[in-house]
Amino acid sequence: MDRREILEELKKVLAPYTENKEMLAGINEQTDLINDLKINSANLVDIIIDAEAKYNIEIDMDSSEKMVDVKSCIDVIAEKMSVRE
Amino acid sequence: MSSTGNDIVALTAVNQQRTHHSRFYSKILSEAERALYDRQPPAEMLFENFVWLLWSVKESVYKYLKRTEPGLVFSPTRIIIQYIDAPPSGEGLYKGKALFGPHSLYFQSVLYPEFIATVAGNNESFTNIGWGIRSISQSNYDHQSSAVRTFALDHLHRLVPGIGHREDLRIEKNGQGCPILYKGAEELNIPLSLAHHGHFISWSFYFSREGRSVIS
Repeated sequence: MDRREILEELKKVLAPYTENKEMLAGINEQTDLINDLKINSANLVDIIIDAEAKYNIEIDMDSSEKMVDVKSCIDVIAEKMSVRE
Repeated sequence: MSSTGNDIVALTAVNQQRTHHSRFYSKILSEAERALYDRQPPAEMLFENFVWLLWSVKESVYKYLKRTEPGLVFSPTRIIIQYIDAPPSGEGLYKGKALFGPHSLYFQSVLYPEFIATVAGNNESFTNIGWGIRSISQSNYDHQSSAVRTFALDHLHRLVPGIGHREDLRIEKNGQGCPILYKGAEELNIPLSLAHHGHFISWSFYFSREGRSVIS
């Protein structure tokens, strides 16, 4: 799965937690989860759990604290998927 | 430098079932905090409420520190709850202390069936902290954001002598996401924290005279 494919799947992970569907459709690597997508911080753990299930990976504490924007989410997911493979 | 941090969790807006899964709560609680609940659950608190109480404490501590450490990232399991004292009857303020690196902060929390809210400060007395919580009619982001600003400014105007006219006050977030209070073009040195979730909003601020808690 390349970065573009990870991004497309990430949109599905984030969808339940943002009201701004228009912005979600157009997210790029610079998009911030809280400041741009207005995701409530109380849902950040949900997103990590959902991403673990979606990509069949495990995200440790050091990695999860980096996941504040789309770029860092893709970085972490790509890294964990490469370890799995 | 003084600061403040507060957080609110609408219990109807979280997935209570998921909260029980170790995969979920292990990303919020340390092993020692999990053991703390097993050993002595505060006032017979439900486990899911314990998890969200600690989340709200940790988020409040993070917001407190973020104001003075802009590069800080939120990592719940690195913030350690040292102790929690439950109110004698199970109703009232839960009080405790949280540690993060060299920092020791105190917190006060309330727990109701609909929400959990926490405020963090650097003094056990909380006499210099104002804190307000209320429910709102709509839970969409724009309404939450607008309502919490209006709620905070109305009380700041009432509680802080000499702060100026209500219509001159406004709140804007800085580059790190911390709310900053302005009177016209002037930035006021009153640390402020805002929180919203579901149908609940809350604010806290630090000021240099006796404060009050306000729940309306």
